[in-house]
Amino acid sequence: MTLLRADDLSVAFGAHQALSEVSLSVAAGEMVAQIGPNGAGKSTLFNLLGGQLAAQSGRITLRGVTLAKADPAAFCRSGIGRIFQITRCFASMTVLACVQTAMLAHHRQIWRFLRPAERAFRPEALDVLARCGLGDQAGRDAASLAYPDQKRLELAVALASNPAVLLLDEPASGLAAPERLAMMRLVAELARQGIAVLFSEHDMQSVFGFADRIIVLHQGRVIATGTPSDIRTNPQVQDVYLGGNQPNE
Amino acid sequence: MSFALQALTGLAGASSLFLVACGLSVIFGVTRVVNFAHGSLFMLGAYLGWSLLRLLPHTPWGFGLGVAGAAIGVAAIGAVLEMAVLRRLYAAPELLQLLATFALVLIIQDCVQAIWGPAELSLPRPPFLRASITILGGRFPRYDLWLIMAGPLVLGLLHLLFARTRFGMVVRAATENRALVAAFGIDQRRLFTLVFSLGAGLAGLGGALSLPDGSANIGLDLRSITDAFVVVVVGGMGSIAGAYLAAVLIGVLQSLGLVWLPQGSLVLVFVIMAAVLVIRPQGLLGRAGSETGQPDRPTPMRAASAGGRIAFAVLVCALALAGSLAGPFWLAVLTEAVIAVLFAASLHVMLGPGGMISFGHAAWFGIGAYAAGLAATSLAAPLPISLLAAPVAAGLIALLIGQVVVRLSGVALAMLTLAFAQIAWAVAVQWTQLTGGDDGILGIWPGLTPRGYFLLCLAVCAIGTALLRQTLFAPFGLALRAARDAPLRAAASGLPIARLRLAAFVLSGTAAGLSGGLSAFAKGSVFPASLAIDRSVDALSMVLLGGVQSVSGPVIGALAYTGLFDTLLLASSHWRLWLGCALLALVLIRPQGLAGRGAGRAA
Ligand SMILES: Nc1ncnc2c1ncn2[C@@H]1O[C@H](COP(=O)(O)OP(=O)(O)OP(=O)(O)O)[C@@H](O)[C@H]1O
Ligand SMILES: [Mg+2]
Repeated sequence: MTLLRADDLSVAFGAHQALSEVSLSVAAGEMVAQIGPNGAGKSTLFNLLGGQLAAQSGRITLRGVTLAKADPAAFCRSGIGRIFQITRCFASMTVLACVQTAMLAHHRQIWRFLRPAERAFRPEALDVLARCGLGDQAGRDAASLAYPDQKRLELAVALASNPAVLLLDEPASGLAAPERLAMMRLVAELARQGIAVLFSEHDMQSVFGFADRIIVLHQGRVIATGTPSDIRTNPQVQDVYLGGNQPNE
Repeated sequence: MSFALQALTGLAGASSLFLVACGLSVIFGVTRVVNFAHGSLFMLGAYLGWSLLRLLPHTPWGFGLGVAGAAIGVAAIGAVLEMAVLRRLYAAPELLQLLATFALVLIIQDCVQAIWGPAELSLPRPPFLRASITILGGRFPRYDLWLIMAGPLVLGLLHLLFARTRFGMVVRAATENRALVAAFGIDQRRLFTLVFSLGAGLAGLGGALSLPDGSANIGLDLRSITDAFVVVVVGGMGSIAGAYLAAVLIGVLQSLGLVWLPQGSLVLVFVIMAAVLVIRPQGLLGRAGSETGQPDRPTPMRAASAGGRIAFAVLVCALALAGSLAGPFWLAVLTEAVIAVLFAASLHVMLGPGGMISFGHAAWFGIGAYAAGLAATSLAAPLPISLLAAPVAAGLIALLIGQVVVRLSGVALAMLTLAFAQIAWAVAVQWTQLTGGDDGILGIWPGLTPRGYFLLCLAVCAIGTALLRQTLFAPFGLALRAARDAPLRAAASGLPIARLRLAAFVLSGTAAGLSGGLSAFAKGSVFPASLAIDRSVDALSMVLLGGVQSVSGPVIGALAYTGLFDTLLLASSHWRLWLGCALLALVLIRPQGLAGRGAGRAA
């Protein structure tokens, strides 16, 4: 079942056409990878799909319903969760509170002024943290986490909104090989539970090892799309991307 | 006076506005420091100009020489200030930069007063300055025609400087991309000193040129800095052409407004500013993202432990006991101190968890004070109703103003709050039928003994402060902090950033209004000083003294500050100087505040 669909998305920054008529679809339980060289427009596409940026033309639909106005909070409420290429967490909070805050937002309970939030959704938040491998870090200051744990925390925060679609902009970048694998396994497990996953990644082992389908972007255009084996043998892709960038770089 | 002549007067005003604003804009563009002391440099220009012009022959040449001398003198003072103070602040959070430059405002104010005395100094006007000519069927002062030309002339010269000289190219490169300057191997320290001194010289020029139409006086610094902030924010921070455009827009509209709606001319300025910023938050010619300087790095914040609560309870009991024993003087000081705690705590909500710098927090305090005072005197309302009127009035106005304010961030937001507070202050001075103008509202008595009223204040402020603290750890407080810590992440998790910030703004204004209402009854009177800029800085100093990121910060800060203040006031007539030095020392030596932990450093 197709959950997220994008039709002919285009966006320009001044004279620079960052994306031209990009279309894609992601189904429940599917892992779709976006690949492309630096500056290809991957993050820009995520920003359109997450509501951070308005497309100049084209359409985004979730379960057949059009998301007309670019509004990240509204996109989140309709079921699109995401993490950013540059990891962001709530630096003044504990790890647990970061996830609790996202849950409070998801359950529309942020307009409560007096009762301490300390115990709000505590078991649920601890559960999400445990799923992301942060069970024993819940009481630490979020800002003091090591980099790989910060990436996991951002994933946990995204999961706190119980998304149907996850947009993951380079979830494993900057991680050492074993951690990268662990992260990708975690993502695959989420997809197995029925979440539609769109991710971008420069590490080809992660891409070819985990993606069901791959979309190749080059200078803001989709130049190929298909299964990993289609993409591996596509000559154009070899040219612009895989040629200069051996798998397992 | 005809429409056209009024517009011409407006253009003359625009030139003065531009001269103050362009220097501020140049300095901000390169160093990313908002120089609060820019108005003080303008004032120094006026005073230096006055001294020089009295000595020089009263001819056009003498006048030109004196004005140039004043500009050069102020440029030199600017260079010294940059090397002594500003240089240490470039890497500091913008809040500390603003506070440090405000400390300079206080210090310069006291120095000017010590050198030139408190009296207003105007220039004898020789015939060539008094002459007027007949144009468009009316008489127009010839000096104003010169002024009209001075604006575009300076704009043109600056354009030549930046477009044609090597220095200008480096400055432009630095404005666009600071890393570039270091990469080109340019001596950044010297560049910043030169740029600051250029900006200071422009302010000095503006100050000296303002003499024939006005005078050198102690109020010039704050009046001109407010004007400059408005112009720079409307024009776009760092854009010189934008500053001129904004100066013309505001100068002409202000001048026409004086004729059309004399009472509302100040409100008109705020409305123009709000309208521009709603449509283009970055200002007329500013580039998106240029309005923020160094963001404050959030640090972990934890709920008060059981120990903290007990300490708070002990403190309240100790204050109650002290109040029961104190004589009239210390009872007044204690009352002021507990009111200050609530005032500081209200600002802390906005500043800390809200992440919004307010330089005009006195507006809410003053609105509350006037609301309570008017309710008690004009409506003869009983104490509880009058006290209730204070937070309600402040909260409602905050709801209205907040719609514009929360769209901005960083320095632009700080400037907008300052401009609003200055306008509220002007309304309090000018709307004499309602506020009594400078005579204020007198005879606001609570109908309790001073001791009884102190205990009431203590109870209200303790409960108010405790409730505000409580909010910060309630769901709302978490959401607000999330929106400050990582706005993109927070929005992607479904948090409505703008509404959260608005709620914090209103909450903060409401609580400040309550403290203002309490203070009206404590003093028995309300004067425009209750919403003057000094009061806003009191609040900021209290919060920063305690530490922005600490839970107990505002309480400790307010008590320490009121103590410090009363000691200074008692000990010295130069309290501004000492307070300024104390603030500078605080910013440079212990930027995390008294109660803050960690080793945040300014330089
Ligand atoms: N806000 C913006 N303003 C102007 N140009 C932008 C903006 N955001 C992105 N771009 C440009 O759009 C192009 C695509 O950028 P994008 O960040 O989407 O690339 P990417 O594929 O994610 O690259 P990377 O692999 O380095 O993350 C780049 O040329 C970038 O410079
Ligand atoms: Mg990217």
